[in-house]
Amino acid sequence: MQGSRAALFCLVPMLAASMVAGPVRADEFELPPDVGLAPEMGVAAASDAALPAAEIAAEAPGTLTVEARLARAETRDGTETGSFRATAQWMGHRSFGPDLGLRYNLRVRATQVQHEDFALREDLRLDVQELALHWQARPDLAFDIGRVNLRNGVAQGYNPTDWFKADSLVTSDSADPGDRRVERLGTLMLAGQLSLGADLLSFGYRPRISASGDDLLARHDVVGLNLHRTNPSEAVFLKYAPDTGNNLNLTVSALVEDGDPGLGLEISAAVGQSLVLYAEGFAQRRRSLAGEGMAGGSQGLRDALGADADKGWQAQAALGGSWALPSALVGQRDISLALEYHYNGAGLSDARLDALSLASGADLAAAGSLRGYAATQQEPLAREQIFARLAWNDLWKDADVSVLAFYVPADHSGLWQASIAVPFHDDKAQLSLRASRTFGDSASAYGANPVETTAQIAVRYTF
Amino acid sequence: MTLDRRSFTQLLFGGAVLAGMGAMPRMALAVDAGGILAQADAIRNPQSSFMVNVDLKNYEGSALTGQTQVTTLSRRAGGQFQTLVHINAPSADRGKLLLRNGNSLWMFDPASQASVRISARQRLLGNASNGDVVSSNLMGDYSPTLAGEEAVADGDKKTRDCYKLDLKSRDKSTPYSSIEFWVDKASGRPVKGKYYAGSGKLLKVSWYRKFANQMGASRPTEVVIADGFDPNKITVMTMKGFQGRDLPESMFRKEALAGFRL
Repeated sequence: MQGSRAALFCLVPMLAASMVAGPVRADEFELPPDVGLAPEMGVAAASDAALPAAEIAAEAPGTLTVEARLARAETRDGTETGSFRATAQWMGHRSFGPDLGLRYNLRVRATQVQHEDFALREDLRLDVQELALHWQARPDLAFDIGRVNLRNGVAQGYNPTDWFKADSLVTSDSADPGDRRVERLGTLMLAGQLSLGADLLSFGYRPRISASGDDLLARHDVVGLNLHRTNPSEAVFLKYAPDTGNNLNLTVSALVEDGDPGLGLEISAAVGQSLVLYAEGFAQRRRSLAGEGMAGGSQGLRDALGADADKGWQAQAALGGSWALPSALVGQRDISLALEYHYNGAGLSDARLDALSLASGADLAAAGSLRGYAATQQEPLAREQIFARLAWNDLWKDADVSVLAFYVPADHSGLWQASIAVPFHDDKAQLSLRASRTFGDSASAYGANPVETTAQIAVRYTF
Repeated sequence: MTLDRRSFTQLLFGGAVLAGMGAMPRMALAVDAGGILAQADAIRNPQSSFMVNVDLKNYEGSALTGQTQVTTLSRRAGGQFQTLVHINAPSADRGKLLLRNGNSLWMFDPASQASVRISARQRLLGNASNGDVVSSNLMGDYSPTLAGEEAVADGDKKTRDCYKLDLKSRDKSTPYSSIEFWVDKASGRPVKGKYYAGSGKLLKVSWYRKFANQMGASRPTEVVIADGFDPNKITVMTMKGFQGRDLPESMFRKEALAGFRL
């Protein structure tokens, strides 16, 4: 946790400086400023004149973003690896009439890893993150069919109700769940939404795709759709968001996945001007992470981790809030702090986390497979963890700074990540720097990650 | 988020201003504080649902530092407005949505299809905010008293004889603790507002100007907003016309953001 402490210590003097700055004298506002009165803005010249009705903004031809990213990773044993990736991403919506449209999010990326030859088949990828037809069947009824990035959840660090996050990432540049939501593949599904006055009912069906190998639907060179990852099981879902007023937000949901039912809940509310509290939970009949994801291992280890237990109801939850620091403390600055408690009933209890850390010999591979599976599923390995994020938007001009951390109380392991994003060229370009580091014992929940430290620099331009 | 902080608050502020252009013909000026404020509300706020395009320009001193273009949709709901803001430019923020429904405020990013709930405080930062304007009905959120009559400079630096109103927040969820608000005695138009935090600190000052006929009434098409902490930080919001629109209630729900189309 030393890294995150250091980052926080850096922020303290800046906070103190902000508190020194007092409000300006009120009489400085006797007259309006002189900006914006140039003739070309000219509506004033025609005071009381009629203005034409607003034109609906023309449909943009999609948003094209290109990015170059340099990354460096260091393992616990000191091995360093560098990589470079060039990415072009095109996303948007194309209408084919008043009721029909196509939503798309396509990405081409080429990756060069240090000391490795570039192999086109392996290192060039087209990611079809979203590609779906949208049909407004009636004013109150709409359907989407295709690859859809359905994203549920109100928490920032972990979303138990985000059913289709498992094995969906195309890249893993960031530990920030917010970034990871941008880096994932959608799910092939048929989805609909029905308006019932102010209430909304959403529903959908996800078919199982059993493609494998070099199939076009799976891992085919360059253009493989990886549908076997996003559609590993058949599922139907239902979400209902009743009108609960102007503050409380509530969504209840149900999922049946290969016959196993699950029930979810999202709720959020603001308390005064600065605080938002939220909670989400999901209970599903399933096996534990160890049962689902640990390959092999000695019977002793499997017993210790409960890997052979039958399916049962497993509860997952994220509870927390975000607090925007008041103006009395930080003036006009936009600084917010989020704090969350994460519970994964399918994860490892303290005792089982300890048992995993004691795995040795032939069991090391099994332990590694479990850790890898949890990461792939985007679920916490430990039953309980804490998440915190400090965000300072517009720290300097439009530059945003963020520091986040995960912490597992059971083994005192965790991860921190700090990042800064600096827009330039009329906000069309952005330079970003990011660094992360795990901490804790080498067999702990986060400390066992082979990569201990990462650093990245990226330049992005959006057309 | 890449959306400029000031732009974000301005967007909401813009929605409020736009909301204020409803079809309320000029009426006889009321003589009590509540009546004066209600009339100013009626000039600022439309009486029906509508959409409008808004340009926001940020200045540091006289230097232009940033621009944002949005389309704002406002739906009349009881005495207040639900507001949805679609960002058209800059390109890095294209397609992002801001939803305000009472004290429920969400930001939606099409790249992640994720909605993040934020607090009202976050829209109060910078030199522009929605506050009373986006919610559009000051009478609903604040308790007015007539503090007297003053001559103040309007957005074009012309002196106007005004009623001065002191507004006190009715509850803790309002964006400002108190507001000083000036209303033109002759026309009932809003002229100027000064917005304060609970600590007494001045958060922002706004001037209304460039009145033009909008949806059947003369309404301000530009608002100049000065940062209460740094008067060099200025935002100018320009509204480019209005049009009435039927907007379904379900559009202003967090769960509907992913399917929103302009």
